[in-house]
Amino acid sequence: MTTARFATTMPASLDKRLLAARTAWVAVTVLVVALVALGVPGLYARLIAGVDERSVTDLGWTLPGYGTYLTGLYLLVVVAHLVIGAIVFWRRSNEWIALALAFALVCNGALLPLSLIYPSGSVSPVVQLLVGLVTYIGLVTGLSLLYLFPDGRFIPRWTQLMVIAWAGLLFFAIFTPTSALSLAAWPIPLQLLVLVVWSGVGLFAQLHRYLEVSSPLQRQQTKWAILGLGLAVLGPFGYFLPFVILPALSDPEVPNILYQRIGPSLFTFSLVFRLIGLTGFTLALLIFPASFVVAILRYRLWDIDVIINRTLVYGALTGTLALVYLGGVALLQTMFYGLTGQGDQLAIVATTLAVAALFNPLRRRIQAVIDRRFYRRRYDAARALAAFSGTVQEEVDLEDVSQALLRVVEETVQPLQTSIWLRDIRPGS
Amino acid sequence: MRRSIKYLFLLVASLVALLAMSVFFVNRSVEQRLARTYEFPIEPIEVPSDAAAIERGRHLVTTIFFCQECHGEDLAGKPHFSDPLSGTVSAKNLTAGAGGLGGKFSDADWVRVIRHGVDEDGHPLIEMPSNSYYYIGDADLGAIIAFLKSLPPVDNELPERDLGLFYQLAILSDPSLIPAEVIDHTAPRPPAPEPAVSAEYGKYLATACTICHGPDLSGGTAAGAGLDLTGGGNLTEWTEAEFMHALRTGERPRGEDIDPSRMPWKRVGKLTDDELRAIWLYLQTLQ
Repeated sequence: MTTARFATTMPASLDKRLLAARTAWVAVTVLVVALVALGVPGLYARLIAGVDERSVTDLGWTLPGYGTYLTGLYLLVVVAHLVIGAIVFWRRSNEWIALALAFALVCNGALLPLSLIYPSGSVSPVVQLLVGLVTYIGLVTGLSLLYLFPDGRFIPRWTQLMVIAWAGLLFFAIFTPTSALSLAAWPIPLQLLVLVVWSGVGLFAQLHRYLEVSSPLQRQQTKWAILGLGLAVLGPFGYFLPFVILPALSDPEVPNILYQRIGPSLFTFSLVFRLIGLTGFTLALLIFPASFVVAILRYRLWDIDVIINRTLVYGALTGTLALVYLGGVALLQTMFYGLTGQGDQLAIVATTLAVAALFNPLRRRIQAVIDRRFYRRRYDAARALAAFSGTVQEEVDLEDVSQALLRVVEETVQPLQTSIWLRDIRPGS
Repeated sequence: MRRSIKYLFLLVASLVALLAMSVFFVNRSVEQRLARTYEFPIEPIEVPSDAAAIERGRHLVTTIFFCQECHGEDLAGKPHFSDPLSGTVSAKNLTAGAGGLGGKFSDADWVRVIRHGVDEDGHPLIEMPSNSYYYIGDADLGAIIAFLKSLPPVDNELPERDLGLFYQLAILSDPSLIPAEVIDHTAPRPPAPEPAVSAEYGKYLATACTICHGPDLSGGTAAGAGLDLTGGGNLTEWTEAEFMHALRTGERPRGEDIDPSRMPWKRVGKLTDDELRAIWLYLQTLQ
């Protein structure tokens, strides 16, 4: 794709700026990982404390199970953003736009968990400042990308004023939340208006770019990336919307006599809805990194598809094998215990062997699925070649083999013209 | 591809239509039940105004009938739910302040609400455990009404009831949430026993305990439900002294604490020694 590449031609001053930006990315990433890692026990405790134990129990679940599930869900969001951000940084941090994306991914992925781990007003000012910094970078880079993607230029040029104003608004909102200039202190309709205007102009800029400026390939890449960028801007706001609409979700505790009088069904309905809502909204946050993964894999954004491909294959493989292992151990332990009264070790050994045996077939299958989804051309080519090798084994007539070869070349490479040169290898020729 | 999208769209549209029809059915069904008017003769109750009767009413309201659990410590009502899915449900303001029932209820209205679970217009209430309070004797009911009428007015305007889908589903799954439907409003009421240290009086006092401990006090099925209070249940090894100590202090015989957010022992613990002994005697009769 067409992007300004600085690696070979940039002047020394730019080189230094890029180096500083890269260093900043590493520092912010370390900060995000540290804040999240240190806050996981607190997040778990907060999630457990924020739910009515009776409704969890009546749902047939346990508080630790509930806490682990939601903590795992939030960590999944953080890790997915971090991994994609790290890959983009590793392979393309010599491009400003890719670097901005790496910043946006790392910070946006942590926005939700950090807001839950370190709620405003309940942590020390230093921690509050660090969380504010991550939030600020995430929200500024997220919206900036909407204006800058995919070539790193402001089109139309006046849109850079919007980004500068956005950065200023957020600065006051996050670091001086009670000041008159703080967006957070403004009436909610005004806040919504700001959000609509800034994201609306960004979408307008992308539409303008799509129709007037972008190449066909950039259009394909942009389609996917804009989906993710739009969600990165609106996602954090959308996540908290259910809690504004349904305040009961935040405070489900009622007196026990009322709980017993009404019966558990109302509360379990609410809990199930809450879990589905939380899961759906949290997973929706994954659309931001996922859309860039699609743009990278399917339309070769920044040519780093091979690494993403491997990450997807081995990520899915690890997850599937972990599920198989856990499910297998639980199932076999139950079976063996029912049959013999013991069997913990046997279940673990049997499941480990099964997982080892599954590794390669499963990897091939996952690879095939990902190739089929994202590398259609290569997948079709591989199928055509496989079919051709079958034909060659059965055909003896040179003319037929030639025709089959021409056909497969046309199907896979799609050249303008094909011809075959057969070397005459008769003795003496 | 297009065909599969078409089928997917049809499937989603069918599911949405089915869901909409179900929601409509649930709404209609519950709203019809709540719109019904109950008409039955109200037995005249003598509501005394002397201090002793008011004190008796206060004692019952603040202890064994657990009114403050739902209506708040000052009995001025409080919201229970306020979201689109559960709906808007509040326990009423029982005082004579703004938004309260005290200023507008006649004695017959109080009887209708407490004993029969229907409001002054004859429409059924929800949540109110009138199926347990139906057996409150006339003298005690009169004392309770006298106490409620003596409450200092508290202004607390609460929103009108508006049930959400989840609450309507809960009503469908448990008919007793509309107590008027499970009460035989014209059936003869057994005479209330005289206050005494007797199993009979203990049974009378323990009527409201069935809300958490189950209809036969053998323990509830929901999480947080009360223990099994019958002979072979959780109190098997307890003595009367330990029972009274537990309800007075919140400490079980083996030293564990009773969670006050689950068992309101601080209210029950204010019963007199004789009342607690009566309840203990009654529990000994349960098998």
